Amino acid sequence: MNKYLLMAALGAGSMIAMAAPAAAQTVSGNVAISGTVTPKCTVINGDSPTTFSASRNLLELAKADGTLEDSSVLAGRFGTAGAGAPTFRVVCTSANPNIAVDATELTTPGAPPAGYTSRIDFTAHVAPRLTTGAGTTVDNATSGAATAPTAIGGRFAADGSDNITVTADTFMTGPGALLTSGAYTGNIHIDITPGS
Amino acid sequence: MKTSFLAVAAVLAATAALPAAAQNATGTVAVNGSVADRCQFTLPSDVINAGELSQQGAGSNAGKLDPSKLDGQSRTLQGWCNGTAATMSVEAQRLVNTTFTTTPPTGFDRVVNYDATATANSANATDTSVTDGAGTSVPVGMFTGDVKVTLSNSSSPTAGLLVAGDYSGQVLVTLTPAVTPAP
Repeated sequence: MNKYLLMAALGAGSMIAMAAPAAAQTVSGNVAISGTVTPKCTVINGDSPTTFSASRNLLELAKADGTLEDSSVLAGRFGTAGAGAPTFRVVCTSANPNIAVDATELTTPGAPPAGYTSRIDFTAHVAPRLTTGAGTTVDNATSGAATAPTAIGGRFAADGSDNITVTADTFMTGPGALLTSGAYTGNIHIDITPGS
Repeated sequence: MKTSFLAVAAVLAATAALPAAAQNATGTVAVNGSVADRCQFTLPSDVINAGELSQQGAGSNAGKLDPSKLDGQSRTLQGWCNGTAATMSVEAQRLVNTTFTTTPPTGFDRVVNYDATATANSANATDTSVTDGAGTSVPVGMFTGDVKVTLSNSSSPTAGLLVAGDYSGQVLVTLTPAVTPAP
């Protein structure tokens, strides 16, 4: 009887030893998430996300005496800042985008004889509006080459309003030149690149 | 199993880190205008005072028209046309005695006719005062500068004696603007 009890006791002791816990073990994992925002410029309410356009008709270009209309009159017909000038809205992810401008003179086909001209030069101005106020205006005269990309000096304003204004002035021909009749066309080409 | 999870996570991270190409924006403002066809005289008039029109002296032609008083007379106006298809015409209006206005007796004339030629941009437009109206228009094109008017071939209707009085006539030069559309 005692023998059985002892065995029972040993058995109980053995079972207690087997129930003691082993050392705790945990595992952990990590998922890294990364991404980038590339320098990017996008046109809002433009022809497409990357293009915008407008046109201006300067109407009759010559005065009654056949010479070029006064430059101030033509500049007014084109539109001045706050008074009809073309405006656009472009947003860029970069801190200091560039603007390059290439203005092309107004011309009509045909070679003019002496005393006449079929070319009207002018100067285009592209004025950006930044989050901090007015940016660097980029000017380009049609008589010269296109501008290099020029940093505007900050971020484009992103307040929901247009932030680029285009104006033109200093319309001119050779002194006293008569304008040949016809339809005249020119343009102002604007490239906006994200820059730095 | 653990190895597989790590591989998927690495692929996701690599994909997210790939930069897209930078995007530019391009704009164009078209500028248009026009210049209407136009001609204009900057020096629109001049005067030929031929003086005494009849021949002097006592010869057989005394009292009749002296053609040398009109023939070869010229004056230069100035003007321009800015269209490539502009035309020019001239109308010679006879000299008429404005003092004696009734029909002259036989052997007398109170009218002096002549031809007028207008030259501009190497184009000549002519007309005779014998018939009313302007002569045929000629292309003058785009030019600026002289419009030279020359008189010639003067005569009186019957080669008679000229009635005394003041004579007056004129040459009208018309520049008409037009442009040929660009090809």
